[in-house]
Amino acid sequence: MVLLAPNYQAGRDALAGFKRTYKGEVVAEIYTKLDQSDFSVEMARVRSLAPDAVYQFHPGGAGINFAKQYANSGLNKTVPMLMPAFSMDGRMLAASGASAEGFYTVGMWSTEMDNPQSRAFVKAFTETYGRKPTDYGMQAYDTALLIGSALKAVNGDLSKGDAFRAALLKADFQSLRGKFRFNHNQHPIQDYYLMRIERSGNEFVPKVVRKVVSDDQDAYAGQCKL
Amino acid sequence: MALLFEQLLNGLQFGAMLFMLASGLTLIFGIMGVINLTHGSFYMVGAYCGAFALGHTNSFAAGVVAALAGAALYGLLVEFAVIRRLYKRDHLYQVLATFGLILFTNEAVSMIFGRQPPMVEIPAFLDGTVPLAPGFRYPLMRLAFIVVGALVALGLWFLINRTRVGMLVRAGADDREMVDALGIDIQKLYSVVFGLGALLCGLAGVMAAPLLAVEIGMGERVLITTFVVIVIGGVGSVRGAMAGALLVGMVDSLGRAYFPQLLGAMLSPEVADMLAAGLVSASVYVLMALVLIFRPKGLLG
Repeated sequence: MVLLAPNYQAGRDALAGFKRTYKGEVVAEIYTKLDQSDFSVEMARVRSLAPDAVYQFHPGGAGINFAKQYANSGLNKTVPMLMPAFSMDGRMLAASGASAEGFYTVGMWSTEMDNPQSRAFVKAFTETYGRKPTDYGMQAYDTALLIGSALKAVNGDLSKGDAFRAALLKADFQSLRGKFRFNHNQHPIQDYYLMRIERSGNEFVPKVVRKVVSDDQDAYAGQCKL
Repeated sequence: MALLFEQLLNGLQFGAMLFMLASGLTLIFGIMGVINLTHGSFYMVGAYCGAFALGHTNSFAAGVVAALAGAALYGLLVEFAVIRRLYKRDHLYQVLATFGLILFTNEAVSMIFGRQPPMVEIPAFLDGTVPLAPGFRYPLMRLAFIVVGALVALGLWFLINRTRVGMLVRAGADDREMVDALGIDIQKLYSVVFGLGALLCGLAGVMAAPLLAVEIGMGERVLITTFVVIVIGGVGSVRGAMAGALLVGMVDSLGRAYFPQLLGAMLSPEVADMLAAGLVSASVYVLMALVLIFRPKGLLG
């Protein structure tokens, strides 16, 4: 593997997280500049290292640049690219177009997720806003559902603070991502999926390949005193 | 060996892009005495206009025309509406006003074109890679970038050394009061120079659009490096901008390519990683400091 991320805290965290569970060999870790928009130099280096795959974390505009230039350099045909869903969200996918085809992402949700509540959400969102929802949209919607479920449990009476908090922790709602519950440290326990960017009509979408982790909890849950 | 050659080409391509931006900026600074932070915004406006035309007509030529026209017209508008009032003022006023224009332009562009970065595909005739040596292929779009940069350099050389406008530009860079005193309409010259600078930004914008994300704030990312280029090259000199752009392009690309390996061979991996990442980010500024120590007015200033 070759790992790439911008040289700032989130980038370093992303690579540290990858290395925590990855058992294979990491040939090189390349830190790009935070404001970098051209990655030709790094791509030449990846080509010379000829790894089995590349993992990169570049959210926002930098990620669009990375995807377009990766495809333009021809590397997408020889070295598969993996990334967290933040490195290729729905808006970035629309801006990258065919360049992103064949890339793999990992996340807790995709617009192509096959459950009734997610399908209904994607349909309604697309009709209202004329574009596909992003993961962030999904999270906001889930959050509203969560708060709604707790409000229902206390009949809208927010003076019952403790009862409201207890109801929140139960997470009694149908999450768009399928399974969702809270851990003892109040972080979510949820499943993660591998997606592959594929053509669907005129656009490109992250198709779910398979579930990669069931009931994942965060790495520090064991140390939490809560 | 092939890798070094490829990294040199990458440096050349980055240099070509910086030259298109810096040549206009250095003329504006050198001739008009205006510090123009809006220069990066012209680049963004060009990229957006190019992406818009390309998306609606599917013709790269239309995209180029739209980018050039959009950036140049916006440049002239900015010169007419704002810069014209600031020639006689202190540099600080110019910095404030053009910084405000950056914010204004970003907001205006997101209102007109939306916040979603538009998709720009590489035109079919520039798509893919070409073999330059056995076993070595280079993206055609990047080669085209280098060629366009070279053509711009040639064109500017001709314009500045062989035409009447160029003569005035050279005279203006040396002594603008004297040009004015000799009865030349300096205002018209300023407009031409400013429009030309914006036009070159538009060209850089539309050439970069298929390779980079066309997004709000893309101009600010290149702005600082562009200023570094003109300071290294010497303010007011297009040849200096060319030398500075190539130097910065090469140092940045080769630094990113070889610093991590070089340090990795000498130091422990953790230390080398941190140090290399820092050095890579700072390399062009170290270069600027070195140049200024030995030539305080820049290489060709």
